[in-house]
Amino acid sequence: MGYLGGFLVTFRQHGRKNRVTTQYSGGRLFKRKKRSASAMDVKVEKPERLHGRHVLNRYEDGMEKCIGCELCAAVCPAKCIHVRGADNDPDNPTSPGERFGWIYEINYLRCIHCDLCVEACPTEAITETKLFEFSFTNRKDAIYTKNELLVGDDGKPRHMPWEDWRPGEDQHTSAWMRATASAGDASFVGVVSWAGERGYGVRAAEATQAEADSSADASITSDGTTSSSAQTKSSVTH
Amino acid sequence: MTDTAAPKTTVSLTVDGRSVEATPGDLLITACERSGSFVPHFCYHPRMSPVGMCRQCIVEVEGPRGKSLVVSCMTPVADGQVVSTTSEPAKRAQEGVLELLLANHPLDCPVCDKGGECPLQDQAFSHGPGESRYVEEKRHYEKPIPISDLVFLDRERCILCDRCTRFAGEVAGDPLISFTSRGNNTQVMTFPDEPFSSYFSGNTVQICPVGALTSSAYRFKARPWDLEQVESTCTTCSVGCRTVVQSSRDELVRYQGVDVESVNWGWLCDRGRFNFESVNSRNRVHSPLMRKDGTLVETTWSTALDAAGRILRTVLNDKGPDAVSIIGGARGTNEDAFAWAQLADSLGVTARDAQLGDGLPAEVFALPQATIAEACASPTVILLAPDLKEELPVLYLRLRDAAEKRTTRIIEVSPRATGLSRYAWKSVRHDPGDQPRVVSELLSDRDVVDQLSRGNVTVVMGRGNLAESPEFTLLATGAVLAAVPTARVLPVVRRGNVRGAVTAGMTPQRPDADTNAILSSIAAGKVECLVLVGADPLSDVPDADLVRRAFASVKHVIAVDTFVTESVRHAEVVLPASAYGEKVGTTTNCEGRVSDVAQKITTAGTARPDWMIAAELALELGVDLGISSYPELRDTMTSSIAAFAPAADAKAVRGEGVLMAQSAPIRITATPRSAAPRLTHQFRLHVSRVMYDRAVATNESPSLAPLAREAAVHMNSGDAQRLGVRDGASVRLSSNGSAVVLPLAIDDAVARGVVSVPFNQHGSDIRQLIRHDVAVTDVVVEVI
Amino acid sequence: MIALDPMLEGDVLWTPLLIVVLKVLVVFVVGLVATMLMVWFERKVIAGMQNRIGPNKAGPFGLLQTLADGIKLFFKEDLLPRRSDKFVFALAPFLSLVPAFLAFAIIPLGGDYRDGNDGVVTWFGVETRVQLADPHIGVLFALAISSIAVYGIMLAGWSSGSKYPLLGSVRASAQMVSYEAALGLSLASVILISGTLSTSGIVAAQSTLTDWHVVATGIVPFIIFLIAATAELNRPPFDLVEAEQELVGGFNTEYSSIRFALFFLAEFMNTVTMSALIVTLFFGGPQPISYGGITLDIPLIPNGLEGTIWLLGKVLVFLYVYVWFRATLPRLRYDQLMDLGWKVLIPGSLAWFMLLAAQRLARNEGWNVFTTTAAAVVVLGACYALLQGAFAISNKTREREGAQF
Repeated sequence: MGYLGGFLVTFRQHGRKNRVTTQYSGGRLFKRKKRSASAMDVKVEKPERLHGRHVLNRYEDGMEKCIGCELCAAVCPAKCIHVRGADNDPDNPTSPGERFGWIYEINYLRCIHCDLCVEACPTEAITETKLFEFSFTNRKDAIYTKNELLVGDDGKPRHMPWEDWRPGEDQHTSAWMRATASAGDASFVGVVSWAGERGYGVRAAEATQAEADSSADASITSDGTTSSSAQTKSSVTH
Repeated sequence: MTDTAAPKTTVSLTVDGRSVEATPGDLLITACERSGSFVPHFCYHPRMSPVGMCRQCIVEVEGPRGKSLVVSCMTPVADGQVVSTTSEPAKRAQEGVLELLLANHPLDCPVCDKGGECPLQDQAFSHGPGESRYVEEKRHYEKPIPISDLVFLDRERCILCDRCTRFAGEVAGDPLISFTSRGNNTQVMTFPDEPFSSYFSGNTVQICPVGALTSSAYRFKARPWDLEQVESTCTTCSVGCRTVVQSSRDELVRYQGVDVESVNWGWLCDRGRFNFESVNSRNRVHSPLMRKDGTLVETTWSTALDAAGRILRTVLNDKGPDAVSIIGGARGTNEDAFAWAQLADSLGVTARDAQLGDGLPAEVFALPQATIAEACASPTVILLAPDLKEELPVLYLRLRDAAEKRTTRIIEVSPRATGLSRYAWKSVRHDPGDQPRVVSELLSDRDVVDQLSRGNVTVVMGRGNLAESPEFTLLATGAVLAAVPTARVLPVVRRGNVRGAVTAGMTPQRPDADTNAILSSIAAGKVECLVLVGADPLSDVPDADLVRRAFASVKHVIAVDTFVTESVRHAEVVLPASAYGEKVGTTTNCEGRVSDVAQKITTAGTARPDWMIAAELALELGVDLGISSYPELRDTMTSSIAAFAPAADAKAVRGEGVLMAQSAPIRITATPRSAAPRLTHQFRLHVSRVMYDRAVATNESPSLAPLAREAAVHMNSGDAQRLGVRDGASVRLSSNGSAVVLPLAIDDAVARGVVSVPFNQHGSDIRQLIRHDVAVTDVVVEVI
Repeated sequence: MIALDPMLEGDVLWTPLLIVVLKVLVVFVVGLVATMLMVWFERKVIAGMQNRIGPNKAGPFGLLQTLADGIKLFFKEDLLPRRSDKFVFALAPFLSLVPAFLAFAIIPLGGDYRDGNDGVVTWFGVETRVQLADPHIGVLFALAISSIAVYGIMLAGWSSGSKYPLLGSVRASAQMVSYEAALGLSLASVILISGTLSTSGIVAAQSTLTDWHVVATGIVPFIIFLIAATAELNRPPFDLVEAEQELVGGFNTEYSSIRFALFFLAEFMNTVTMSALIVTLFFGGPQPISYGGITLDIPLIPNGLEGTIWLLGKVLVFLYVYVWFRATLPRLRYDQLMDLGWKVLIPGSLAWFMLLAAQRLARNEGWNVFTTTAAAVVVLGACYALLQGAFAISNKTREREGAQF
């Protein structure tokens, strides 16, 4: 049909079956049928690796994963992350190692959710949930501080009052991380040397790695730091 | 191969196909880099001797015996070498070395301060193998351990390049760190019970190619990609080391040294390196202060300027310009001092001084001058100066280097041994006040005469003893100049920009108007208004009694300063000044080199540069100095003061800076004479500065403040035995009607019959014993 | 005689006057409501073609959406740029809107065309036509009014005092003026066949299906008129003037609030008017479909209203066609647009008009129609060849001079 074939294409789109838009919540239909907002609001299934709001993860023993290395701030194309590191107090360390993230702020007015920071992080400290419906009403709320980003003691992200969390959005926040692990192998399943989820379950280690773990004198001291007398590198037990 | 003709002055070799000319004795690595081929290296440093520790700079050289791999930092150039830095064997060697270096190197890059500016990272990326085959366990050490108050050592990261140990030994003369153990367990370590408390420890942090050495002041503050930087000149002492001032988020975080051939060779002393913290201090004066009911209260600029103007106007109208004096200007830039000098000139104020009675008379700048480079190249250097290691540390490094290289012989004349005594050819102890006689004696010594005839003679002269009149050093210098007419002088007056301030006009414009005279006039009631421009007489003037009396009787004090110091506390109006790094300008170092000081951060609160304050105050008093912008000020200064004319070109004052124009030199005509000899039961007092004291910039820097020690009396062990005192016992020193109690420290560096007390330390103030009108201070030491 | 409306012969007092006033009101209201519904119609249809719902919140099925938008626009800030010519800036939207309404005046909106009636109805005892005005020069009036609409856009852009509007308006005026020629020439074919310029006469001439001018003039004038009308209206695919990607907002960049609403409304009003005009000129207007003596009848509707229903249906079809164009066709680039207008439509419509005129002449003079047509075709073919030759030469000249296309 050439030039005129396009008219048929658009003509054929009429009809209820072809519609992509779903009913919105609210409005007259909602009032008439008197249902709850979430029942009317059918949300599209979110893909597993959706980029949403970030969280700062912790290990199972409660230590923060963030070591304040500023790599996320360096790679951020929108320059929305501000990080400052500080020395770990030897008696009360915040993260395993010398350094922890003392100031950690993300400015969500600038964040473009590219998640380059998630790729750059060497310790899987920063990952993202699937929450994208967080609309704040003032600038201060938009700048998330470390307290707001850190996962709670249950391993789940903190819910701010203006955020609209749906079930399932705070699960598996680092699912995407595995695909872009520093090994560069999307199918890599195994122990990433700093990994160890808090509360989400841990993937099984590769056979050889587990053997290495069990044969080495692996243990974490109670405060998470490497003891000077240990001759082997500590690794996380699962 | 033997050549009986004159040795060739250049050799030519081929590097990567390009032909290069080199001087015999040059290292292959410098020739390669000059030709444009980068050779990866870690242990090689242009200012230190090569050791070939890291083996990274391996290149392939084809000589008469065929091709071989050599370390280019240990191989001298030779005629006809064919060098390849990128051939297969060279590449494999370089990759291999990197792989081995990375074998035990921990995966610390995210937490390591050096990440982002790390030669190991960069060279592993550019010359490394790309993948490590090392899967075994790496070696572990406790990390990091503090090896001094300022430096941390992480032995896991150390690649054993020997730079820090070489620096400590070769350059600084403080071999406090070295390699211990051997084989795989080799590590850098300090000696037991001896921390790495060198005055130059910060340099090892800068030259360490990995993050093994980190400084506590900068640790984790920022990453290299956060930093913005600008080149500037340090103004902590008058050496004027060239630095790079780095800031992150508008806050100073670090200084690094810049290699400048004529001044500091890339080294900085720890005090100059770490006192950036004082600029960020919370105690900075952010807004003008005025005295209300006995305390200083914050106010606005208009109110403060109005008050200051009123004070000055009243005093000038009622009592005339001689009732106003200005002390200060040596802590700012040349332009600051010039603006204040202009203001003083327009008001008719002739009593002004940039030195606080703790330096040398301004005439020394008119003697025949030598530069630092000339001093270090002179075959003879006569030291009539304080301990350079404490007061002008990088100058000490330069002179030490000259002495170690045997190009210079140092003749030291001082009441106590100094850091350079070890390297001096002749080190003579004497009583304070006896310097002219001792120098005259030396000048008639046959060996010395021989030595002096070998070439140039430089006299490095400074205020060696604050408890003695500076005339003795002047007379001693005069003696040398009389004996060796071609001798030249390097005046090492300590405060950062004394020379610049004096040249700009902040110097007494009539006889008897220096700081001591000003303070005497104030105490006598003749001067009613004192303006302090970055000066703290209560802390710095040696004659403490005079200052106290002056401050007790002065009617008005107007202070322009960055902190509320002892003297500023007495002020009626305090105008906040911009600190180093917050203003642009130029500074002059001890040899008369004018170099630029750059601004990197916005000034604290509403503080202003000194020159702006002078201009505003002038307007308040109805005088137009003609200064409305910095470029205008600079132009006026360089055109009205002949000495600053070479600095008119903005480009000239960058980098190496430019030497001031010299006027015709004067001569010292007075005959040398010494002070009266001391009574045997008395000791002669020697007071001089040490590196860490209660100076404002040191005190307000949290990393440096704890390093200032308690004051103590240093006495020779023989004298101590005679008196029957033990080390640490309290003794009372009394003189001129005052007494001070201090602990005793036995120190054989001090000459017999001399007690040496460091200046401006915590504890009792030795200055109570000093009188400015007394030539030398004799004290009686009593055991308590 | 003022017009062909029988009501206006003789005394025009009281009842006829009131009827005229009533007609004015009706036309005005119908115009506004039609515009409002047209906007809704377009948004819904386009949404359907784009797999969306379209407005469905304001009013049942989103019918009141346009009203809501209008109210919103009413409350927006009314900006007057500093560099603008204030008077002309304020005048321009009205210069665009008013012609749209005016053109609606001559459209026959209904009438009784059954049983040999020629559309005259009787209201309140007065015989009249179901259109506001019926001058002898009806179609010419419409053309003239649409020319004035060009002023609206031209002045809007010029008076904004900024470069994008100026560019947009210059382009727009050039576009509209060029396509007016094609419009007029295709119209000439219609007039040739119908013999009269008045709209009621044109409608009356299209009593049977084969009399419909779309058939009687050959289909070519209709196509040319449709395309030219789309360009006149600045509708896609000829909506370069308002192309956001290229000209920010075109001539209405600096307009906001009510002024912008007026432009917006003017565009849709024009669409409705132009559709009605096309229906009138080519599809018989309010005439029912009748062929071979059989006339389709809409049951339960009195004869007088039937014409309106027929008109409505036909206009709806064309409104749909316009929306269809918008959803389907990509925008024409400006040079393509001008080429189409000057190099295809004008020569085409002129040629067709010449052909029809030759045929008419042949019929009148008694010549053989076929031979005349063939001769005409040959002559026109030669003209076409000459034209192509001219184009080729001009292209070569342009290439030589370094033009980019």
